[in-house]
Amino acid sequence: MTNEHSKVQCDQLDTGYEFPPANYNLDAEIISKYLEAVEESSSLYWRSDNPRALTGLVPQMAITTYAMTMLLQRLSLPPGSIHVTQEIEFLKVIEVGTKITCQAKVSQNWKRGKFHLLTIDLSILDQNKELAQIDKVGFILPS
Amino acid sequence: MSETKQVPGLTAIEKGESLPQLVKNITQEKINLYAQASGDFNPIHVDEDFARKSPLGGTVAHGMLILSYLSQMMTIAFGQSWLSTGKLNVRFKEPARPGDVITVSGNIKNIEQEGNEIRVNCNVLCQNQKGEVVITGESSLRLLHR
Repeated sequence: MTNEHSKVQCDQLDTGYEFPPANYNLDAEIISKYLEAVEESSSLYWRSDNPRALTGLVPQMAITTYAMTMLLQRLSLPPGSIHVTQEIEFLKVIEVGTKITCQAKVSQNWKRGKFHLLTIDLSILDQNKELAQIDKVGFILPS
Repeated sequence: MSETKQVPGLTAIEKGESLPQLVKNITQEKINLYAQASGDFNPIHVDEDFARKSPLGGTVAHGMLILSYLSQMMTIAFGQSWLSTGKLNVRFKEPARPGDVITVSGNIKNIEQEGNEIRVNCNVLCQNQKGEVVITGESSLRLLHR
């Protein structure tokens, strides 16, 4: 998750702007690291006969997390920006090893006085181009 | 709604039923671990000197870390159905800081019939030890009607 990209400034973003798609692989190492970081011990993810081995299911919030990281690697938010809202819809179960593509599009970039709201829609697809998750992320930016 | 499918973490799927509560202690070590796992090294999360001089006055946990706890509660309550049909709609109200104890809770707001399935709508909440709301919102998922 260390891709280097030139970041787009918020004032360059019109409604409808599409970020270059980002790809990442949900391999076992990444998922194990994620599960340990969030203290997730569910038997949905860890095998009961070997607690250090994965069952193969990916926690949906791991997908959201990496999509958000990819977005923030491409978007330059001014200091003082606040992540205020998040909508997420899970559409299918994803397995470890899946290659994910994340598409991001500006759905709202709205300024009025001191109030500046930026909303970005995320579509997350698996390697079969099937939608796995859709998200809407809202930021309040300093004007 | 008495013949709904059994789910892992609830005794009944009924309006008002509480979801299984989780309590999480926030530490800088956990925030750092999440930064490493997610790749989000924004200094407001991991650089204590930087964060102390910022308007927040200190490091704060990633909002997505706290949101992951909320998803864990839904997974405990509803199992794999949460992974395939879940929806979350939340607002981040206050940051969580190292030293905070976050309580994740929720209840079933209502149940809607959708063909041979039901949609279970829940209120969800993350609060700190002072009772301040860190995250509030709604979640829902579909379940087969037996």
